[in-house]
Amino acid sequence: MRSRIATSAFAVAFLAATAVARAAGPTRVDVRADDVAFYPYSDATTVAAHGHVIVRAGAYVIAASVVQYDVGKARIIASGDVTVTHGTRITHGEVYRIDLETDTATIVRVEPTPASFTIPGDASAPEVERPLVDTDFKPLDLDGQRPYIRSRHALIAPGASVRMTPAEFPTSAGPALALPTYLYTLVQNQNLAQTAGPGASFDQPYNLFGSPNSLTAAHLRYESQNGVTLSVDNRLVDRNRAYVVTSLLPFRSRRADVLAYQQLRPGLQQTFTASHTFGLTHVDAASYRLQGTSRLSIATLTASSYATTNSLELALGTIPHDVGHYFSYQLRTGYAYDHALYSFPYANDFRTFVGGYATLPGATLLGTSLNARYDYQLTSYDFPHQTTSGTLTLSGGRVFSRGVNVYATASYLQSTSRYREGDVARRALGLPDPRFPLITPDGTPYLGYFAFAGASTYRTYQIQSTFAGKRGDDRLQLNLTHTRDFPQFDGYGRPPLTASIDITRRITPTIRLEIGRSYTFGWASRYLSPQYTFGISP
Amino acid sequence: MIARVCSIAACLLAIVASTGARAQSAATPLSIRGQALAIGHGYVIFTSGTTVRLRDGTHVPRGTTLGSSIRVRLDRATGDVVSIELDPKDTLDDDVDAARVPVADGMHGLRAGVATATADSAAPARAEAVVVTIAVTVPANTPPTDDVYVATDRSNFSPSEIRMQRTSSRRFTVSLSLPRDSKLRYQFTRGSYATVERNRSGGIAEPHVLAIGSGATVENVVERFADLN
Repeated sequence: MRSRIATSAFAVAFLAATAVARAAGPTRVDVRADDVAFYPYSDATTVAAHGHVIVRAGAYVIAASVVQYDVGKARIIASGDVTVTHGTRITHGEVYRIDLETDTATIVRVEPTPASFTIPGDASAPEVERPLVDTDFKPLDLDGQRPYIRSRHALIAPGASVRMTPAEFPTSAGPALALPTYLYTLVQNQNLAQTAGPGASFDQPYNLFGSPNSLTAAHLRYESQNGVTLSVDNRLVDRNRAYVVTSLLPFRSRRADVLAYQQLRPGLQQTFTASHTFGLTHVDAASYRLQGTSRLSIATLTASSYATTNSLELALGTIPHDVGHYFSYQLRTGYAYDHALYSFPYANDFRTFVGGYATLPGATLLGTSLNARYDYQLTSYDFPHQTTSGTLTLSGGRVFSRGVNVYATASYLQSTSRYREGDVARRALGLPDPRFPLITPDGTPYLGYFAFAGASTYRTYQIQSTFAGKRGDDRLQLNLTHTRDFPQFDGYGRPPLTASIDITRRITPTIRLEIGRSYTFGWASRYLSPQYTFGISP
Repeated sequence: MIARVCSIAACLLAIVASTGARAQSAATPLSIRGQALAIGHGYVIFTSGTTVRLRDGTHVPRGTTLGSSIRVRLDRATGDVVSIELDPKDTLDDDVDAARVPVADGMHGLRAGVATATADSAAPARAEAVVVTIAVTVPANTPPTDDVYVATDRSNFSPSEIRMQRTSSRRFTVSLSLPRDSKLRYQFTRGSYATVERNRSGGIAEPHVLAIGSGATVENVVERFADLN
């Protein structure tokens, strides 16, 4: 309930602060014709209509054989037996252009004599004859260009969206994909791609409603755990200052999520997330983060709640510092309070943490770039418990040609989890007695300190080769990973050897296909463990 | 009508006479290249305003429409269009850019006839694809095993749109085939929007803008990722 109230309050505050920018000109442009095609070019998004075209834009009704509407520039060019009705004025000509934002138009007539005229926006003002200049008419040459969508009716909300009804998506493969209607958003705001729900292997949005600062969409998703499912989400954006994303997955995952971000002033941001999982196992989670950044440091206050655990954490750190070209580092420390409702004897616990990383970048030897990095964190709890984690990563990369490169890493991670006043804590937590070896399920005995103190080592060796095609979009990537951990035995921990292949291929100008397959070797009595991944992107 | 046609023809003949140094045969038709605005009611109108009369019965190629790149051949004697070619691939000696035709008397601000210029810039070039390489250097605190992706306005910034190739611990590249003279807006992520790049102070970063000219490598720097303090 608290998280819901907080969500509502944040959304209301956000909406109150959001100002909707309105451009001059009509708020709706309606285009009907025998054929209406949509070309979403980034620099000249265009609706082109052929055959018995009727355009309604504010007080203007334009009838012509051919029309191009440059949505970004709010400019309509009509050609072939053009008739324009504007209030009481009815104008005929061969070619007509109107700039909807400035409400000025130009018309070319060939009868009785070839001539061009400027028509003022005031329907009662007279036409003025004037010479044509090159910039008056700049239509796109769309010969041979495949439109993104074909239709018979387009409803354009300038600065917001284009709705095509019905909608056909031509493909180079032959048959077009048909939908009863499709909404294309014109808002070029990367925050409209925000997601609040869990990630998915495949996510195809289908926009339902849009405005200059919002988008509501249904999604067809494929989740590795839940399979094919549907979701609905809504995004509200305020330029680059704030956004609120709400997401509902009513089937399978059965959860609702909220994500909100606001930049209070440069260097100070707040972020709020909340999720509710309903069904047999309902879980509530929420977090709030306030972060301030100065020239040298970052301070973060985080409050979070997950099911029956709550935390409040204050973290202070330096920003990443580069010392010359050869060394960089970052330090971080903080203090936190954790509350876990049913976790006797440490239901209320405080912790202090300190950590950071250091890198040695930039060395190049025989054409190979080399890098070393060390990460470390120590966390000490009031309940007599201490964890450490240290990772050393060595890497090298070499580009053999524009299309071939190889990258290799070796990483060593050692973590410990030890208990001060060990015997009391060990018994309280039900950990094994260090005097007796730990026998793993496959019969391997672990003796001594490591068997109970929680020390573990993870070693990862990985080599990655990439072969890129001449077009750039086509790529083949091979990965080989070997792990050697402690503890690690057959069927427990990470597989010791994994090979994967990833192929990316542009199959049409608008569709890029990525297919991946991986194998693990000699693991848990299995020699092959294939996994498929795939993705489609423009 | 007669006066108008005579005016066009007179303009044409005057210009033809001025180009006599080229010693062309009177039988050789003149040609104008440009973008079509309208073809109808006995005229061909170019985007430059050049308007020439269409001889009755002249075939108009199927698919010729607003914005099409065309070449019209003119009868030297009358100035009438005798043929229309859609999307001409080659350049002829007689080709003239429609925008270089002078404004003619009696045409009320429109142009008629042929100037002496050649057609080197006659028709707008169709956008050809060029391969552009986008390279990025990520912050030192980027996890060494994470992939980096490019999210572009082509997918409305889908956060895992294009996976980049790692060339060193902090540098990634990807080559893309993009239409020349277009623009690409893009951002870098580590596969989800929670890991999108941010500016140095943690605020939302404006997308990078790439104006695609010739194929080249564009260097970028990520100041910070959203999830890494």
